[in-house]
Amino acid sequence: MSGMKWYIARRTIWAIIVLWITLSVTWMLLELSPNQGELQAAQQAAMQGQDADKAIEDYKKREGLDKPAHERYLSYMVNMYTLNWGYSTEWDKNVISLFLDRWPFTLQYILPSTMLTMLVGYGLGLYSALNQYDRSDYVATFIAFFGLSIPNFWFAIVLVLITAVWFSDLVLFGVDMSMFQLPVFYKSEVINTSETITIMGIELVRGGWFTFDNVKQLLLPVIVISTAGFAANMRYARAYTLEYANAEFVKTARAKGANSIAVTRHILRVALVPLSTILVFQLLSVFATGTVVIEFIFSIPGLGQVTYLSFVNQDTPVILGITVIGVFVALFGFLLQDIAYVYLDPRIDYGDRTGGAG
Amino acid sequence: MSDDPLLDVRDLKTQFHTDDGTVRAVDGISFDVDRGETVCIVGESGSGKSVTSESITRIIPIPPGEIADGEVIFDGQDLTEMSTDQLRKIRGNRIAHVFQNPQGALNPVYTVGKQIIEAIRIHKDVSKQEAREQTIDLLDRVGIPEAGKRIDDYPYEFSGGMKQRVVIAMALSCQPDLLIADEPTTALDVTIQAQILRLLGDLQDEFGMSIIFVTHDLGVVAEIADRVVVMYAGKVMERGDVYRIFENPAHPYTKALLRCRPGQGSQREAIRGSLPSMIDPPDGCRFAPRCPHAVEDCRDGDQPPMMEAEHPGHEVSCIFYQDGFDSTQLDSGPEGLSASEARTDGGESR
Repeated sequence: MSGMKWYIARRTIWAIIVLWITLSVTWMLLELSPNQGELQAAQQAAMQGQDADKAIEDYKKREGLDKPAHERYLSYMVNMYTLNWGYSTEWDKNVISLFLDRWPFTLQYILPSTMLTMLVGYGLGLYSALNQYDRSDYVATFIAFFGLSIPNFWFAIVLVLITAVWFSDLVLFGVDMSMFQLPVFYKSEVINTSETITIMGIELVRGGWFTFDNVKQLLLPVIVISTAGFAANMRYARAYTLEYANAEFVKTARAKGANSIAVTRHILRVALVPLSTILVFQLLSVFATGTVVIEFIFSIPGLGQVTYLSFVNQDTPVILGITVIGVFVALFGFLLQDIAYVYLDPRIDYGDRTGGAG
Repeated sequence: MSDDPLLDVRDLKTQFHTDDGTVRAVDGISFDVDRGETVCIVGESGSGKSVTSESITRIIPIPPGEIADGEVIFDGQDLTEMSTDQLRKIRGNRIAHVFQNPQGALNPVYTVGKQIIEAIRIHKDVSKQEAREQTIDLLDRVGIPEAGKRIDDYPYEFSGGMKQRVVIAMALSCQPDLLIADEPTTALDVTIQAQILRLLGDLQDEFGMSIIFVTHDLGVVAEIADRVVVMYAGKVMERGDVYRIFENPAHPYTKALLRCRPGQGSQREAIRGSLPSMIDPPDGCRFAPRCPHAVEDCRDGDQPPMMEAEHPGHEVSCIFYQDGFDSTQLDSGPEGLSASEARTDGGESR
């Protein structure tokens, strides 16, 4: 598969070029906008009865802003590509190490919810397409539209109300619901503490990522994020399955004597090609907007929270970093999608694949 | 081999339940297929011939489709009584299908080899390697050059004619007793058509299988059929030996069909009107609204029963063959067709 390697190499080079263009545009926007630090320096100097112009000049010198534009552009680019993304005074931390600290908090709920939406969404979509206009189809369709229609933030608040507030003193059918009570706010201590407790002779580790306490406090965010995603997946899977369910090749498969599992595999394998595209888009939209809302509501100290706070505090280096990460995730996602495409659909050419004898 | 026909379709009714009503696509048809013979089902688009062929192994979509009535006796067993699991053992194994459009008949994302190997391994307990060897033999047999190499190619790498050969190879993978070919040459150009027909003929001689060949192309019928079933609007109009049908077509519809073939010169004549509604079909003979000879009695009651025309085995559903009617009146219509003309087209396409 040397063709494949060359294809990936070409796509990667493209990704680097696109990243460069994005960074250049971002740099230009930053050049054109007023510098927060500069204004602050001037204001401070003026309040202390000093020369504001002098303060600005000093500030520029200190920050290296007095150099010519092309030099600053060059050093900016070098910094960006060498992962030297500056220092956040707001967090009192290097931007890169801030992101390194925070990304696992985001990943820990995005990963399971993506897998959940994919499996449940595709599964239900496939099932309801193969039982089109059946009662089960209508039920699945209803659930899907329910999931699509309700806003994320509202659903999150309602879930919090039920599982955290009402469950605290509710007895349902003689069952004390407080045992199912879920924590509202994410506690990162759960991950950092490491105590072991012994229950009935079994030693349990109580701190860390893969613990019951952590899973419990991630339950609500995962449910909220999954609802919308799984509904969309289900509708897409249903549509594409229906498109292929009556295809000629499916009839051929049935005429061969294939059982329903084998026939379904024929349908799904072809439907996966368009579905793989949608998956990337969905992931990106969750990453771009979903994380901010979810992490704000549940106080998860992940990248979404960092994004939100950096915008509120006008923390330029962090905003810049978030932008680059967003672009990088998108480019990486599309790269994966292109590779998946070639892998899933032999008709898609990746350059020097030989074939097509006609 | 017994004297019983291999396939005996009796009063088969297939319906589709739609929002507009029940479509009676096949409305009580009967015909049989002997061992080793080729039966052509002929009719215009929408006459129910494809539905007939797909009702035999029940690969029509159910629902909305439904086999409402009738029997399909295959080698002594009624297929309509069988469970889907039992039928699956027959599909692709003893009764195989070849469909009209080779472009769509193969799954685009699997290699042709994988798809044929799948067909073999559904019915035969052989290893992947053995199935692969059989597949190469099959591809070679249907005339795919360098079969050993092409086995790992994807369908898009084959031309239309080659794809149809692959589909035929797949259909033959378990040496079926009956091959149902639904317009297998319609989507192909004429030279490829002739090659595929010849291939099917050769394979039939080799494997001794029966063929049901669905087509609207009378030239093809003349070339390959032993017997012909003429369908119109879900009913059988006429059935009989291919020579009788071409020499002495009995039903006005068959006569009209023969007159509207290409190659008739100025005598070529279209059938006026269009197919009746299959949701609410007309009373009497289905063809009566378009029939130039129709009389009052034609528009009454049900489709007339099958009656013997001049020769045994040649049956027609037309009241002019009932006692008290004169079937020679049918020849006085718009230019009668002479026997020699009936054969010329068949000869041409050879």
